[in-house]
Amino acid sequence: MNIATYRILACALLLSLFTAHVDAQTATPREVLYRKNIDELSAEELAAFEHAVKMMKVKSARNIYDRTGFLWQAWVHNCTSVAVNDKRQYALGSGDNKQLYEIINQQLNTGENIDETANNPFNTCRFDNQVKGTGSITYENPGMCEHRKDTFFQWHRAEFYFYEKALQDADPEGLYGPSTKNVTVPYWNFTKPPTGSRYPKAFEDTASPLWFKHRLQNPPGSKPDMPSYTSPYLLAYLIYRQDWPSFGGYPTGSAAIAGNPGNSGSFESQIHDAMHDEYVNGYMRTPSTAGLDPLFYSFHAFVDYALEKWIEEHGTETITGGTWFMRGEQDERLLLPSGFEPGSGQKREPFSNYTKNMGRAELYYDTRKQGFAYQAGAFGEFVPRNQIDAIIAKHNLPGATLGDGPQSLFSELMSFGAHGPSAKPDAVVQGKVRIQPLDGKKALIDIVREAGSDDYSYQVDVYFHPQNVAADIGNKKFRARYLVLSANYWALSGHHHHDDTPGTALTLTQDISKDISNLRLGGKDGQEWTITLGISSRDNHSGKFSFTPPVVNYSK
Amino acid sequence: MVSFKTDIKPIFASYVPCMKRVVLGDQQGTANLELDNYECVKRFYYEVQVAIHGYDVAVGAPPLLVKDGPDKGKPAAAPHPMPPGGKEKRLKQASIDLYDQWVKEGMRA
Repeated sequence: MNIATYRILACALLLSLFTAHVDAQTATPREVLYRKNIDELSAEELAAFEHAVKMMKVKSARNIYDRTGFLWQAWVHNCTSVAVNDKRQYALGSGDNKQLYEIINQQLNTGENIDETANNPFNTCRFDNQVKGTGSITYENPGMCEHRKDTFFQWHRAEFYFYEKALQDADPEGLYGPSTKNVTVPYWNFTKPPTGSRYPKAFEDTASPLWFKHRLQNPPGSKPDMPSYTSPYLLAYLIYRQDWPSFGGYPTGSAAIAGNPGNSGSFESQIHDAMHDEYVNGYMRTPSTAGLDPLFYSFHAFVDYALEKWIEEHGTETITGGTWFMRGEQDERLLLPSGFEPGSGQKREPFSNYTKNMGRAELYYDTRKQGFAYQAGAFGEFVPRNQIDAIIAKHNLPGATLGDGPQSLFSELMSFGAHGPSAKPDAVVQGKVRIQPLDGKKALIDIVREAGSDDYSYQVDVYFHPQNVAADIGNKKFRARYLVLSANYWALSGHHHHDDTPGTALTLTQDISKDISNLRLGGKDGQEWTITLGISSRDNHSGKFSFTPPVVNYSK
Repeated sequence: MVSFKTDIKPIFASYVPCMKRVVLGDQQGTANLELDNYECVKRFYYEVQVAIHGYDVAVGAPPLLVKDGPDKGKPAAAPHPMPPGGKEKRLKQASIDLYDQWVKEGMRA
């Protein structure tokens, strides 16, 4: 190598170092703030979080249209549209911060039960009557959550990015309490026994801005539920063992979902929906009010942590829906996500200091790039993979496969939580399944609620059993031996704020490949077994349950 | 040939104010669903088609193939069938057929 070559190489090296330096400057990596387990926050951290929530409520009491306020952030989840007057200003009351906080807190917690009529504007997203006479009315579109499709996780992640920024913006200088500059959304690991009687202690303090009257409570002084409602083993199984669509949901127009524009993954239907409807209830009972309960955000922070754990295990390459834009109008003055661009279209004028949406879903895949990450508590938050592998291996042994052993794999995974199959379902429906090779495909079960009923939430417990074994659902031994799945459907009516829409059929599709494989290992190949569904609901006031015989589809 | 202006727009006329309050997202961005706007309906034609076919099963109508051939995107059921209010509110079959024809012919203005 001659001197000229050395000079060229040296220049190239210097240039590359310089370029890297410039890139590092322009990229300006964000400081990463950690979301922690709410039960492990220091007293100072909890006080700052509570103060942030309180100040967000004060902002909303001062002006319900403040996009950095608690109400607007709830509406991003709950509401497709809200009535807005031409001043874009409506206060719930007047006074100093303390008085304003008491006013909104009283309005949110009024009555013995939630007023489910149109008189309750929080319940319906309709403030039309309140703002009538304060100027001409137009409608704005705070957002609306995504469910039963492959963007369920991503939409909520985007929403939480902005909610967290609103928390940090609540009182960053600490003028009225602790600084909120570094506040993050602490998560509630609902797969662990609660530190309060039903929820984390912080949410059961009646003097806290985190407290909310209208969620299910255990009797005062009662001991915590033991174990937790949702099994950590079931959650870990789904994270480690399921691919994206089975775990995270199916896209619109998916070939896997005949007749349905998208469908929920296992996490949404086996864990998320049951927690909303069965465990917390209250305002969290329906999507159009869920964001009004402060618990919602810590509940969903752990949902997002579960997504992060799944990404850690599987990467982001197979996640679908990444290029779709997430609806939700946010205050443009908040720190926008790195790489944010809103896509096509014009904004409304005046009052155009908002984002048209929350950007593409894939913006949020790298959380550290956006300045947040999760910090596990002292004892970890997820069951390790080797423990799940050991349980699965045990159920694959001769004499322990589905029907041969006293406890199915799903029963064992679920048995570490209080949530379980119903011994007295409201309805029983049966079908058949032929055990056959998967040949690299999945086995999906379609649970179809027939057209003609109002929308209602329900739980469905799925049993596979030999044809000569009667479906004895009332018998604990039967349930333990033959349970392959327990899933929920969370009624979405109210989303569009129309009346209920009776008349539509609804399909819940779930992956049961593990059970077909397990039965084949047990020598059941070629046999035809009975599928029994046990369906339960406390929301179906008609008492009528119409489901078609379940079908297992191998071709998807 | 079916056209938006003369054939499709009148079908949706009474639903325009309500649906304008709903925002849909896709890979271009997000937008209010303006059923009186050709570009908007063309952009979200599939979502609209799924919704208006949402009562097909309820009334015993054969589901229509709308996307990518057999077994893909049959709108046998929709989470939010439109118009809302139950199968009694379903669009006339002739209107649904006309919309399907409009899509099939390439969605003329």
